[in-house]
Amino acid sequence: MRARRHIGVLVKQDLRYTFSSARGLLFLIFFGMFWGWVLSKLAGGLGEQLGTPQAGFLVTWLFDANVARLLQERPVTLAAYLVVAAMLTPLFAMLASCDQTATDLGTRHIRFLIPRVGRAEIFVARLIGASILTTIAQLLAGIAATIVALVVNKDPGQTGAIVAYGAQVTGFLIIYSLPIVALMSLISAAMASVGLALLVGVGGYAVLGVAMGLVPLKGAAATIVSFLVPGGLKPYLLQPELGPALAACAGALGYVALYSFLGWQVFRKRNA
Amino acid sequence: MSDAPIIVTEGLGRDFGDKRALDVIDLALEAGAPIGLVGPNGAGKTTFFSVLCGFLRPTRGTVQVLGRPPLHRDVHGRVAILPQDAAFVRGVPVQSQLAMLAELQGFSAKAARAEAARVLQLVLLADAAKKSPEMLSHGMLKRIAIAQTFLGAPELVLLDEPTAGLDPATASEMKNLIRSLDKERTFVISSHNLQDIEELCGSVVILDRGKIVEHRKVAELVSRTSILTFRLEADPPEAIVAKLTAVALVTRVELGRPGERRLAVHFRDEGESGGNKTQIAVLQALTAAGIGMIEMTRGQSLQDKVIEMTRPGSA
Repeated sequence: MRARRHIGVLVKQDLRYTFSSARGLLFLIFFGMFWGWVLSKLAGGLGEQLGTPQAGFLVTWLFDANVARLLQERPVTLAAYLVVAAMLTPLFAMLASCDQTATDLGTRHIRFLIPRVGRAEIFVARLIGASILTTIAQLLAGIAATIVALVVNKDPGQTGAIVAYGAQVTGFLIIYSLPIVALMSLISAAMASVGLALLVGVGGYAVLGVAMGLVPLKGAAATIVSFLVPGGLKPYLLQPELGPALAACAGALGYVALYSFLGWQVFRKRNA
Repeated sequence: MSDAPIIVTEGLGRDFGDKRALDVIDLALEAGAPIGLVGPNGAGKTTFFSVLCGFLRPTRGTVQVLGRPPLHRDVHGRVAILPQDAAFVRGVPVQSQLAMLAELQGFSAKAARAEAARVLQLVLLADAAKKSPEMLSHGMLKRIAIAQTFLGAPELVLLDEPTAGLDPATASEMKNLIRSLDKERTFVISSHNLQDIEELCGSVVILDRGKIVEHRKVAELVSRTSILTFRLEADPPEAIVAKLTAVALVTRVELGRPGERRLAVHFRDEGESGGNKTQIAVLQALTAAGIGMIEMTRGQSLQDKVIEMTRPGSA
């Protein structure tokens, strides 16, 4: 009971700091401006064009056939939003969650907390705070994308399907961003510096992506490497069928458990 | 306050790589009058505080604070510390931060705001309540950090260099504050300012190179009657030792290290008149030897004692 209260107090403080600090506001402004720009393009007809069979060829070449089917079988504006968001979610989630325990450790602010609360409570509260921030950001972007999809939709009979798919896409993206938040809990605890945590997170992700593109791995090795980070789940998320996407969401929660556990192991052993 | 030990360590040690910051610390500190923790730089004072609060884990040995290990949930809120180098969150008003810490100690949101205002008043910074840390001076931030140790009713307050960086007037206010509250809680104060320790504390633990050199009452350490301590204009010549030893009742003459410009003359305590006569004779001998004096103290300060006990080769 006391632990839950402590976590509540810390989460409240975390969010208050996020929404009043330059770094938190910059993230929200950057995130909002980016999606404003992307959604304005989709509202301008780009989404509809991506759903045509001609564009399908290009999409298949750029991604795979499942993505092309997704754009043709699902409300195209939202499907296009999902494709772009799935690619950029790791970056945005890293930006939003790079400072979990990093500032606490780096500035030794944690020394004011430890005599009052347990380390586990601090770790969990920071993880929840960062998760709430990314969830709010994904929720707002998802609502905006759904509104755009409704505005550009010319078939009134599709309204219900668009809203339902908008909710589904938003839910997927929220769940897909959580493993990144958990990964950053591990990196921020290890680095104890916001800048370094962001650099290591983004750099590591980018290096892994480039390496996977350059090294032609096949068979089990390719599967293992692709699943080192949650990015391996993306092809399952970008399919028109619900089953693979739900499996990807379940896998994402597995990553959350693994990274959070590793993050906690690092944080609990760190000098404060 | 109970007589049970508030801090008990057995074989406590902490290493940083090859360096032994704390060697083997066996200590039992009891609740009551403030306890000073002194020693030269690198003695292990801050490391000791850090282990007591669970910031650092001991490499060996055990530590109990208020009968529990440092990170035990039963200890939360009952121990407060003024850490030496911890920072408040930038951009958030200090009163909000103090209120948050009070909430973590079990206050309701409303009561926590009132508690934050109360402790700010204690450190004479009520005006700074709405300011964020980056708008405050180093000294003001130090006082805010002191204020957070008075949130609620901690039984044990660890203060690491509480007056460092404060102007003399503010330092005096902080010392008065500690004096006014030392009946309700036990303070352990680490400081290089040994005059502060002498003024505030009932007992003192002297650390040197990670080991306890002494743990005694301040009154027992500081001899008031049988030593004359001189601060000189220059280092005294070796020859003065023989001249002063020849003075009646003088038992030992001690020269400071080169550069300390210090001289201590120990004499047999044979009452006030004997002491006065010895004092006059010693002063005459110094004058005759042409040794210029800046200050003379009857007795030995804690500072002199600590310097003597932590001098290399004194162990």
